[in-house]
Amino acid sequence: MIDFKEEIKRFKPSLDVDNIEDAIAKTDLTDMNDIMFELLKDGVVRRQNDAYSMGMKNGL
Amino acid sequence: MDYKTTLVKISNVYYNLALERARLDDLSGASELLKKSLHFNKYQIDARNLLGLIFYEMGETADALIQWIISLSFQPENNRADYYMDEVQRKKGQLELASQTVKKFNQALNQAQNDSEDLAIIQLNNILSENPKFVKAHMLLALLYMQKDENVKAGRSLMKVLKIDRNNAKALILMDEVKHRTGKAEIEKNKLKNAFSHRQMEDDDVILPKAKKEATAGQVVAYLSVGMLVGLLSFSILVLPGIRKKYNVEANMKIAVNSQSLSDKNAELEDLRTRYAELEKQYSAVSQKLTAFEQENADFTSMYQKLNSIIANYNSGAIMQAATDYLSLDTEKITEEPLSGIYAEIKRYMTNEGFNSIVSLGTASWNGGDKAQAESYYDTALRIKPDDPEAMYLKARLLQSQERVTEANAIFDKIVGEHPDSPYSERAKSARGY
Repeated sequence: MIDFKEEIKRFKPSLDVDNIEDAIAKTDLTDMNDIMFELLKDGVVRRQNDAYSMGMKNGL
Repeated sequence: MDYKTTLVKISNVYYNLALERARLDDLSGASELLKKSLHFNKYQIDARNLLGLIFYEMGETADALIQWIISLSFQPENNRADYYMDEVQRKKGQLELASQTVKKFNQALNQAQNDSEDLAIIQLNNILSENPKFVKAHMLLALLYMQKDENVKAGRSLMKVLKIDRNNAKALILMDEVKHRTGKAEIEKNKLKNAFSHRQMEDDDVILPKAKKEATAGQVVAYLSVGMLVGLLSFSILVLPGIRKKYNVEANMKIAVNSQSLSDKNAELEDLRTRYAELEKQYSAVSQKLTAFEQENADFTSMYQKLNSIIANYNSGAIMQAATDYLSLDTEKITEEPLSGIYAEIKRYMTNEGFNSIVSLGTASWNGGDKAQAESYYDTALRIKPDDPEAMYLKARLLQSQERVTEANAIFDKIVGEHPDSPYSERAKSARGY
């Protein structure tokens, strides 16, 4: 059974052409490339930190 | 292969799938796939431009502009988005019109959400008269009509949505609800209204079978013939034997007295017999006409019932049953009013809305993975309109997806050969691999 009140509430206002600049500024343009880059960067940094810690432990 | 190349390939696959969907007017499906494509590679310019185009087609001008602006920022040169922006943003009045439309829609939405449904309906009709492709406005209007139980109007709005966006999920769900509702109350109401209405029928009105005429000219002749037959029978049964008997008795009496007189009477008797034989022939001819009339009447009644059944099936949503019955009609037997008028209406519906509905069902089945069912729908559609290039193209693509290449290519060749001016000719060439 369709609840019309609820369905009408689900409708969101459309974006006005006057507000395009704001909308573009807020648009998230992250894609999988960016995510992979961050993951790889995290991986490299972690490996460097691990290597540094090992070196400190061994008195280097 | 490094991950960047892999991501680009994945993005391109989603883009290609989206393009196929967009070509089949499945805008909702296409936009979802395009978003996935951009998720894997935000620099997929074609995907972004197409997404903008889809937003524009559905009446969301601002969303379209956002995509094209981002696209131009990634690739300023040699970018189709530049042309789109020219058409929309830089032409005078276009942007202002788009802005006014959105403001009116948002106002109507606010009214609808705050119990001013009637004002919202007026506002939405106003918007749609200037922007007939604004899908969101059609959807809201349909919901408001459904809330007020004006299901035929709701159905009309939903049909317009499905013409723009063939597989819009929400529209399909609401259309089911409308069809379920109009299965009873609304059809009865409209039947009663149309029985006394002299207005011109519109595209999605319920077809009414016209009332049977009281008596045609042929029927009047038949009734007179029956009267004549009864008269003839009465004459031959009641009067003629008497006459014959009278002459026989008189002849017998006169035998003894006057042989000439007897001979004269015999001659008269012979004359009567000849006339009686002629009357019997006429009686036989009239009897045959009566039998023929009864047979025609039975044919008329049977055909009338068949046409009625097609209308009932169509209106209740059993479109395939309606189509099957329609295709099985012996049209040579439909020559007179009112049958020919009813048939003309049915044919008009079947070759337009009915045909489109069946093609849509085929595509929906295909998208749902049931290719056999999809082929059945396309075949039925092509029996209704054998030379429709769109239906031919869809069937050929379906066959191609099932690796029935020979059959598919035969259809592609037919489209290219017989419909060179159709947009499907180029698509057929491309699919065929020319």
